[in-house]
Amino acid sequence: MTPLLEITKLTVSYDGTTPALHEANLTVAAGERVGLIGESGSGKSTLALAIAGLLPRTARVSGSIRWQQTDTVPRKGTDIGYVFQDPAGSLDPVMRIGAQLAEILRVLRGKQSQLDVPELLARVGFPDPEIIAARYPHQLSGGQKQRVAIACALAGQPRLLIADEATSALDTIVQAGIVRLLSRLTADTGSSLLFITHDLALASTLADRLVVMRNGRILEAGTPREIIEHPRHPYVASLVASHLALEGPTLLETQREPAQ
Amino acid sequence: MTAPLLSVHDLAKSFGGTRAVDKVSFDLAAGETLALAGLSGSGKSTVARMVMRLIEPDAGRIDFMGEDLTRHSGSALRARRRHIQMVFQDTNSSFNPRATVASALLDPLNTFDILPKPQRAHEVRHLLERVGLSPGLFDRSIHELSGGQRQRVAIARALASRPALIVLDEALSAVDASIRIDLLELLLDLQREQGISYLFIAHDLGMIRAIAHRTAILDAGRIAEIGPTQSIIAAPQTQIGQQLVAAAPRLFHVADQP
Amino acid sequence: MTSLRRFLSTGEARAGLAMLLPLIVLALLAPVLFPGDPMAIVGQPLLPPFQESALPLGTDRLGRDVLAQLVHGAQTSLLVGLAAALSALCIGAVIGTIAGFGGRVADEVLMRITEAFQTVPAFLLALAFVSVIGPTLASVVFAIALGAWPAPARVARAEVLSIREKDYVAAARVVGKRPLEIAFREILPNALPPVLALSSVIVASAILIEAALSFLGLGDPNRITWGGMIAEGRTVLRSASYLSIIPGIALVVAVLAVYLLGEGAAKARLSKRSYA
Repeated sequence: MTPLLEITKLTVSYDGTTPALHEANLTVAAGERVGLIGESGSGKSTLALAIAGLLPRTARVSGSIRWQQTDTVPRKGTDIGYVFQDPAGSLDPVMRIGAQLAEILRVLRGKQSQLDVPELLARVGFPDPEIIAARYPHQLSGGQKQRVAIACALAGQPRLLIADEATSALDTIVQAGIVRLLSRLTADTGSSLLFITHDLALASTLADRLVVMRNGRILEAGTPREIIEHPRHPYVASLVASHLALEGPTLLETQREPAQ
Repeated sequence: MTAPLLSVHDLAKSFGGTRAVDKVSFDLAAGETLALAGLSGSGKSTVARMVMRLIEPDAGRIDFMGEDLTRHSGSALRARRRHIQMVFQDTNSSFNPRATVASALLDPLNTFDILPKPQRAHEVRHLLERVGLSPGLFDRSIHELSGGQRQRVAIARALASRPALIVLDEALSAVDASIRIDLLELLLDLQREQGISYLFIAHDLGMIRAIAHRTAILDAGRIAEIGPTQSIIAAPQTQIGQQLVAAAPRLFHVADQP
Repeated sequence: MTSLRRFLSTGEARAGLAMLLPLIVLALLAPVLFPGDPMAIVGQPLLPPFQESALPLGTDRLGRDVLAQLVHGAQTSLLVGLAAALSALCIGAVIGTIAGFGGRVADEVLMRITEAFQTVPAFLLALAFVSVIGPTLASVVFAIALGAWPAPARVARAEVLSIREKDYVAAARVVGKRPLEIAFREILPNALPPVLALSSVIVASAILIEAALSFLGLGDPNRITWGGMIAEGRTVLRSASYLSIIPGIALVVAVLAVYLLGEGAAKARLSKRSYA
């Protein structure tokens, strides 16, 4: 598979001294789904923002980001689509959904987008796009808003979709629906996906490859099976062990006094 | 059988015409953990806050240690709060921005007049050790601590008055997974040592399964089903129960069956 | 960076301090620099400035030292300005906190009273109060505070209303704190920053209202004030305009300095937010 994105020794520092990201190497192949896993302060969002060119101007960056084996930087919108954690924060509260999407399509028309608003909305799983297009963001549920945010990110038909904790604020049932949607969309369009989450299990349900980060460094990368069955780094092992499964013995049972 | 520690009858609350909680009833025994599960908007947090009397119920009874809490107010209610404490989800907002570790933990000792005054600072250090924190954090500002440390302080604050019941409102939902296990073990240890009951509000069934003896699944303000956690997860009887179980993330679920 | 250093790094704060500090020092040193009664006659009347080295700013109609009056007047202006602003902020913060935290009835009653005060122009209110009570330093301070407290009260109330819903207030109830303790120990200290941001505007307007009252002869007659000096000079405005212009410049400098300090503080707060 041809690499779509190659990151070499990427180091990012916000305050000039402590790096938020330290010599990160990452390759995303065309059509590949990468799950980027890390807890708070791991640098996973910094990595995503760096790829999308969304770092604050004061941040110091070194290392290289190569896009499609050239030295060009990926363009926002048409090369990379970005879905943020808070869907309410990424939509304009006083604009109808349809108008927001139409605006994005208009701005990105340089790429001759063949998509129109109803089609985009249908693609993210709305059975009746016209009704949704006429609504304001506050009239939608959290899951619906996140679907719209995904539609916004897809408007430019990007080669790489970045979902930055895009399901973390949602209920598990809605979360599962969004994960299925992302999985289906990337399969249909052949675009790559960078799925960023703190939830190892969630990432393992959809990713071809998992990348685990901690304290600004990439610790380990591999297929979900490799990571889950044979974690090499002790932290990754503890992360796997901390998954609270619905099967097997529970903490409550292992800790319960026999006398009870 | 002895009377339950907490017994909630037909609790109801509406916000501006919509019924957030609709005739919810359940019992909680001493030393037991009952989980309230459900989607956001199912009313689980409203139930928790009504049990704490932070939200006034429209109707219903909250029998706690043999008395109806809804009948008390003012100083009578304050005196009873000693036995029923709470840990919140967001550690950023559940401490006064100006609080230090010491001031946060001295608050309950002072208001409930626990121990003679000179011993209270020592008790704070003891509480910190009990929840796995260094007593050296005594003078630190709460907001210098990490999220996991802050939640340990919140648990210590709830423990300080030696309550019979602690309401945990999504208390572990925002904590990193690697720390979550430690906190679950801490809560289980405390329950075994001190016989504390927990009302454990969460949306994550994996976490609920790890700590709760019984689970009630709330849907649109009503209890859809209630029973032993193991049987609810193994064989949910309602549609919402089945959906929740199906949606819980499992380690490589989809990747196994492409 | 500490908040003080951030504050001092703004040009507004530096300019404001450069103007206000000398005024404060002069006001504090007034009894040392110009001992004795500044109202005493020390030379020939209407001596223009820069004529005599002993009387650098000249004398007024009665032959009194203008510089001595100016320095003693700085005492009154700054004292009244600060005291009135402090009283207004205290009254406003307490009323706003009770309105925001005390429940619907307290809120309705206090906010209607606040609005009633806001509909009357602050200067008219002060004028009416001083003419009824009589012009003393305390009554002038209170009269100015009377017109200035509604703004901090409204800001405090809005802030308290939002803080009231935070979990740490619920947590304070859970650990058995009393409502008054929660309102004034947990909520008010966190509601203060935006209220204090109003202080520069209030101090500046208090200085101006005091000057206006004195100009109309409603200042404390036992103290020298800039407004009173301007009023004194009014009768000879054509022949000796410096008698009005000099205290006028002092007023402009004081008000501008306070305003610049407020701007500096606002800028410092903004830069803190953008770093966070």
